[in-house]
Amino acid sequence: MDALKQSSTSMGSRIAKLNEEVATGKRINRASDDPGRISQLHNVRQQLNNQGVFMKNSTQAEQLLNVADTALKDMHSTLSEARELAVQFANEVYNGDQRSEAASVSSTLFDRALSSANIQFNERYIFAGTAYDDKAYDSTGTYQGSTDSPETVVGEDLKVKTGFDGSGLLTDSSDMFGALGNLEAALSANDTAAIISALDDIDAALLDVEKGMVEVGGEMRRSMDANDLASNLEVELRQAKASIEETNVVEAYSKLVQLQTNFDAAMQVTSMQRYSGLFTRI
Amino acid sequence: MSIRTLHIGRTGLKAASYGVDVTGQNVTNASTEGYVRRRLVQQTRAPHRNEHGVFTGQGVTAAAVHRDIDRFATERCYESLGDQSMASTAHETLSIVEATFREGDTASIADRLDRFFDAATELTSEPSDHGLRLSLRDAGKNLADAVNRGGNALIESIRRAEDRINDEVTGVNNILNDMRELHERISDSNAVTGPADLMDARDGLAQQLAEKIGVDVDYQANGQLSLFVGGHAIVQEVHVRELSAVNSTGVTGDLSVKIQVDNGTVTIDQFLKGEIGGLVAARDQMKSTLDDLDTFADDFVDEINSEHGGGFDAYGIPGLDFFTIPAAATHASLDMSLDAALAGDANLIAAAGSPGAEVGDGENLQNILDVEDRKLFTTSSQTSREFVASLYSDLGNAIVGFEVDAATHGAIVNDLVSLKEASSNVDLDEEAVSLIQYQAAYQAAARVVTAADDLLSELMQMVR
Repeated sequence: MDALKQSSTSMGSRIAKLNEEVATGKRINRASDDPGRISQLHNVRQQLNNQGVFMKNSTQAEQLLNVADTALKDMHSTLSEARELAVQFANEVYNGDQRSEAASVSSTLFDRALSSANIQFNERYIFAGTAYDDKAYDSTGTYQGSTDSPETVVGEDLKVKTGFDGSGLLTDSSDMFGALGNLEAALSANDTAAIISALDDIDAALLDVEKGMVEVGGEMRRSMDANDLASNLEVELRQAKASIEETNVVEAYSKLVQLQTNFDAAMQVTSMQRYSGLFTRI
Repeated sequence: MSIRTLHIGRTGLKAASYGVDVTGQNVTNASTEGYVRRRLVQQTRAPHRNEHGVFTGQGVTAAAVHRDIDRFATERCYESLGDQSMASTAHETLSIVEATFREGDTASIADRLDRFFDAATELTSEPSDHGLRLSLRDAGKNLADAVNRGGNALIESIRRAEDRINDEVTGVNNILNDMRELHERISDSNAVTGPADLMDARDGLAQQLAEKIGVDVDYQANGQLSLFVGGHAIVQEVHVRELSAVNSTGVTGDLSVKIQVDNGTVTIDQFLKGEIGGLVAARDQMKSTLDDLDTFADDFVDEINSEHGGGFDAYGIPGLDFFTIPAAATHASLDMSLDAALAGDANLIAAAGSPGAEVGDGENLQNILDVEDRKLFTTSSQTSREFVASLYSDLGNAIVGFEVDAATHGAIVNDLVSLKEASSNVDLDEEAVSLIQYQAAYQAAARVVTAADDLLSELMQMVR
């Protein structure tokens, strides 16, 4: 009977453990279930949590960079129009009145360029650097943002810019707004030499904007790659986590049914056992 | 023929009657816990030399009632009981604590640590966003709460274990005193009239002591028992040494079990087995886990505060401490908390790398994030996450170790108990045979008495 008591206690605890496995679907519900795999499990869990945040950050970064890219394309288009205007009215055939009309077109182009440079995403001025709570450029085209670019973590040791120092990106070796302003002034003054000079400035500004487009494009690419990486890693890490901690529910259930059957059989045998010895015969 | 024949018959009747008594005692106590089968030892009485120089017998006497005990198996059984009881008590105690460190629990220290760094990572996308700052602040608070919870669970469990040790030591001393009384009565007892029952009771107490503290047993030739713990005698015939549970520092976790020896007291924690030994072992493991948790709290907080202090908050002011642990704290894990000022104002989170207080400056967040991968622990070989994981796995390993020991020693105890009971348990079939034998002996002795009576009657007829 003592042996039965002992084995029923140990069977009882094995049944309880299997019940828990079947109910939770996990074979590791506490460290003592498999102490050797705990460090590995924690490592996988940590990385899995990280991928979730990385995907969120990189998705947001992509959206912001898309807006920046569109704004730069607009600026390029504006400057191209300004260039055409300058090329056209540098020709001696135009008179003062015609150039005066062209000056008002140039003024419109200045406003468009300013609007693009002060583009926002979620109330952030993208080209104002880390001081993105205010416009990057004032109404005269003077930069008033910061010279640092904000960065967002999108992966292990991986950051992307989620804002740009406009002074470096748009007006590094040129003065876009100065060039547009000079063009307007030159057209108003009917000054052919000044128009030609403004044309050179506009060409330099176009180069800067093109460089800016390359940089933003690069950041977009990195952000998209980070998102893809995090997404793929998440799938693999989930599989790794499952292989470490999850149980084969069908197998566990079969073991449970078998143990319970054995337990019931042992109980039956005990209840059938009764003394049938010599004392019943004398 | 003489009256002596009647006397011889009478001794036979008496001896057979004792035999039936002993057999009856065995049968009626077959299910009594701790009962050791008795055996009547009969001896021929000293012979008488008659007038013809012939030695005739004087019948039989009941010399003793022996307990059929296998001393070797019993001694080994007590030792293994101590081992098994220690392992299963330690396993039980630590399993309760482990519930606080449950795997996959979103309120666990490990998970909260991950969430803290995740919140910091998210904040890099928008350092001035108040919602994200609140998330980081709350993640910090949740981490501190989880560490507090772990520390509190451990310290409470240590306290409960020590309370139980105190209670068990009192119980053990009561058993020791009962044993001394029994030993006094055993040494006073007549060999036939009682020590077997007293010895059964005494052995029952010895088994209880084996389960409580683990003892080395030595049966003496005179039927007395000596018990030792770590080579120190706690029972030697009628002399016992009581245990005491002493905490000389008053600090939870410093309780020791001692015995009084000739030249002072001796700590016997390291020799203890049984339930008290299991509680001591579990207590020591919990102390070790608590020490590790305190180390984590101390070093993690120092590192985060150091990085946080190197940055600037939303007001452009150098960062305060992110977490605090009072200097006088006995256990860092119990007292780790979010800095009170920061808890009230998430703008005090020093995300910026320069004092310009620009909204997009999150440079210092990267320094805080670097702490996640920094090898701060175990002689610079483990990150914070790895250290927390090893804290869990060390506890898990200890529990598994005790579980395996309990099962192993349990199997040994089962074998030894079977061996012991093979000698000492009542076998009803054997008792039935003995009953038949004593019955037949009684009938035969009665026949002798009848025959002697018939002969005497004949003699009386002759002399009338």
